[in-house]
Amino acid sequence: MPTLDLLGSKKTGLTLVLLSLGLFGLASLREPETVVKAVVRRQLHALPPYVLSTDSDRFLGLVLEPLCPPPPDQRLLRTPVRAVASCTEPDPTDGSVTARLRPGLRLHRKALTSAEVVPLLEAWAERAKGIDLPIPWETIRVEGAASVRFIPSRPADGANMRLRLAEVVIVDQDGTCRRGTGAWREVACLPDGTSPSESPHWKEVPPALRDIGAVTDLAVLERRSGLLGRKRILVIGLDYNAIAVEPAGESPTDVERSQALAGAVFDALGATTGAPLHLLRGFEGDQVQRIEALRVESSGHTWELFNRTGSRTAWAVANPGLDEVNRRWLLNEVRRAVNNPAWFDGYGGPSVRSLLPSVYTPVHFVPPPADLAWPDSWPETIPRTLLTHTFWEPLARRVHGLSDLRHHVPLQINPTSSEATFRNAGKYALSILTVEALDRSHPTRTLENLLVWLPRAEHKALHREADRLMAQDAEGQLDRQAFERLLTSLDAYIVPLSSPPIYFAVHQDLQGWDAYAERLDPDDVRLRSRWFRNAEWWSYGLFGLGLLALVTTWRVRQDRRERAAAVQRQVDGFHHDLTSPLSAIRAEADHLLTQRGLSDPIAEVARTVDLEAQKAIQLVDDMKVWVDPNAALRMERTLQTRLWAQGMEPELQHLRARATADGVDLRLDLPASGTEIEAAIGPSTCRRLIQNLLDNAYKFRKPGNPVEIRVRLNQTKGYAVLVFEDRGIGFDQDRASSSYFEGGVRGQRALDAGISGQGIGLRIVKDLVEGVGGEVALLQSQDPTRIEVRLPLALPKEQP
Amino acid sequence: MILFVDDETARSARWREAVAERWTVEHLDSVEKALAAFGDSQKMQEVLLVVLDLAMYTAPPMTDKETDLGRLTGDALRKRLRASGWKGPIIVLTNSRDDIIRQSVERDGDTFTRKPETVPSAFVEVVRGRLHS
Repeated sequence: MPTLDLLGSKKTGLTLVLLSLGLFGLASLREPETVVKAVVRRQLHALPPYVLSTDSDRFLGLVLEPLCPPPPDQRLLRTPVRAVASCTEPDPTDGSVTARLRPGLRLHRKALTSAEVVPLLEAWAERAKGIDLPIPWETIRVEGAASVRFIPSRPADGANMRLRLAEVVIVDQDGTCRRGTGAWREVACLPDGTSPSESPHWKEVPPALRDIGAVTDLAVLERRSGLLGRKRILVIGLDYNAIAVEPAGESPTDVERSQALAGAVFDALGATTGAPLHLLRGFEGDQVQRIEALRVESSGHTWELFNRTGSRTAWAVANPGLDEVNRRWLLNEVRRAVNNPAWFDGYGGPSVRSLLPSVYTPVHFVPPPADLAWPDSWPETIPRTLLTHTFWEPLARRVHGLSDLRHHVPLQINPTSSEATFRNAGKYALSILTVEALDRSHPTRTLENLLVWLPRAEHKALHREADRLMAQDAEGQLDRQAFERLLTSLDAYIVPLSSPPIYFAVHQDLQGWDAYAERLDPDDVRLRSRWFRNAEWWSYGLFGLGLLALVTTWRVRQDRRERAAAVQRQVDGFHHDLTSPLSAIRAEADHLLTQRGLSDPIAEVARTVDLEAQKAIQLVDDMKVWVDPNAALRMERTLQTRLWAQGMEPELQHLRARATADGVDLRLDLPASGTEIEAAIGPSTCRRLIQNLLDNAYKFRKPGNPVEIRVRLNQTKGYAVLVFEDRGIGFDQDRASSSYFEGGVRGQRALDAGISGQGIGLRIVKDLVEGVGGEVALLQSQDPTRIEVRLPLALPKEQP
Repeated sequence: MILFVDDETARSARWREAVAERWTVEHLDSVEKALAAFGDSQKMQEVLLVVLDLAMYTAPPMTDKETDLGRLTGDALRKRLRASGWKGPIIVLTNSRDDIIRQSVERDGDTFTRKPETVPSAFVEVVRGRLHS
């Protein structure tokens, strides 16, 4: 029995399944685009701690995002990152700041409301307390679904709180990893006490780094990229203190360890052309020189060196107005605090004596710090205070607490604005300040900043020398020995407290690396991908089989399409060859009927011939649908037809002509004028099904009775509904109504009435209607017989 | 003058005769003749309307691909005629009930009508409608 081409639909489904499996296989096998970033030196943890230092956390904006953008007059980052919320300026009455969460804020994949944010902020505060970081707010209040209000303990602290909110992050623990609000997520983090070699990502570490034993941590950040792609950043933490002891029993010195680590790094650099090491940061001193040499020796120039830029380095500056004895005592106490080997761990920097880049000869501070006595005298005009502003409060407290400063020099923490007033007036003994490296290329710019605290009028020689050196530098002829002497002379005034500019090496093909801000651009991390890196032989085999299945399916479908096209051409040929003579017969009848003086009997014959030819043409058209419904309906789904009473006129004319010829009283009740619905069906198909249903209603009439046909048109959800009613002989009530739509079924009533036919009319209607996505049903079998056709509504036409 | 392109000479005679009662009709019974006439610009200036059958045998320079093995020869001729720059009305008169071709023809502003549904007397009205539109 001919059916709709369901097999074709199954094939399509099978192809899609295979295609999906193939793509899934590809996605599974494909190695994500990966940046491998090695953090050299004493950053024991690959990922930054919870409390962000905006200067050193170069992952800010990837996984973790700041709660508030910095205040308009503060720029903590050269390249601003998206904040979690927009934050108001402090309220003048109570100093409160309202943070309005950005729409669609999610912690990993979970949407966040303000009520859910508060516990996360409280958890952040708990962690901050654990490391003696002051909590910016005293109270948090939820204000609506998307706002949180922070209230400080005093209204005057509002400005400081607003600044500190730019340091707060919304973060949650997820196993060993953290969940943040950024587009990236931590997908692999090493649990405490676990050796990096146990990580599944261990094999991705360049062998030269792996072998040295200096890897302390591994972590992977990942984000989706496009439909199937992923981007990854593998972060490797390196520490020379972790280097194995050799020979047995003898601990290598720091210098030996540092050299061993540098050697491994250079091996990795030299061996990584085409390998996935793309970024190393944390070099200083002779390491930079050796990398520079390596770069020059390499014909490919695959590595570039940059120094850390835009970072602020904290310095303790003794008041230049103090005499040398007082300054020496103050600076000595600072050095005692920072010369603790653990000091710089908290600030991401190394425990080295020289903190200026040793590309140039290092500054030699006075080692070791002496245990000096508190000076006998102190000038009355200069307060004995350690002055700084609120941003550096934690650092100031740490220096203060680790030295004898706590017994002699009180802390004075001021808001940023008033702190400047005290400092400019020279009302301090010691001040903690920052210097910003404004130029990416040269430490003389750092020098320029340092000299800001030494008044030019009182330190003419220093400034004159600095000017001379900077002029030399601008011409590329820096006198390095003179520069060293100048830096050494600053020892009498300044002690560095946190990391200086640190150099990093970048593979030239690294994209997404903002060298100026020293951070990865989350939206532009793009590197060479290495496909199928982890694939085993079975993966290739599976992929090959999938490919073979796809090609075979494609070939089968192609063959089937060609055969279907051939069948359709044949059907079209038969249709044409049958229709053509029938049309010619109609033309002959028409010719006769248009002759003048035609006798009535001849005219009657001509009309009968014409009607019978029309019936035959209808049958031929039906046969085409019967033989290949898909061919008849191909593309018809994209067409549309207006359903209305006037649109049925050609079929009605045909019916009236038959009724006239048969002497039958035909009574038609059509949809009201003005009822018009656009249906998603081609006009020929629509005419065919209306013709068949009208023909059915007429054909199965009760002998001797008028033929009453009622057509109704209305619209329900998504469908145009045509209802055909007639008061003919109807259908057998003891049969399932659906059986009449199966084709080849003739009812007993039709047989009893002696009405000829093949039982295919309703089958044709069903094929046509279902072919365009509609439905047909026999609602009532008799008095009246009622058939309902539901056709999908046409899509609205696009406005020009 | 009306050009009537149809390779079924006998079966299309009544349509031609009906039109010929009012206008001058030239019958072209092959693709070659039709293409020759379309290429004669002087002649085409006198043509008021062109009637094209759809299914006709393919002949060079037309290809089976262009005519879908002769199933759509009339439509291919129509496109060639339009490509030549002729602006007059075209009626495709066919036995086919292909809605896709109908849509393509009507989208170009031409007329698609079926022989089984348009007897010669009705066809005269279609021609008149196109000439007076």
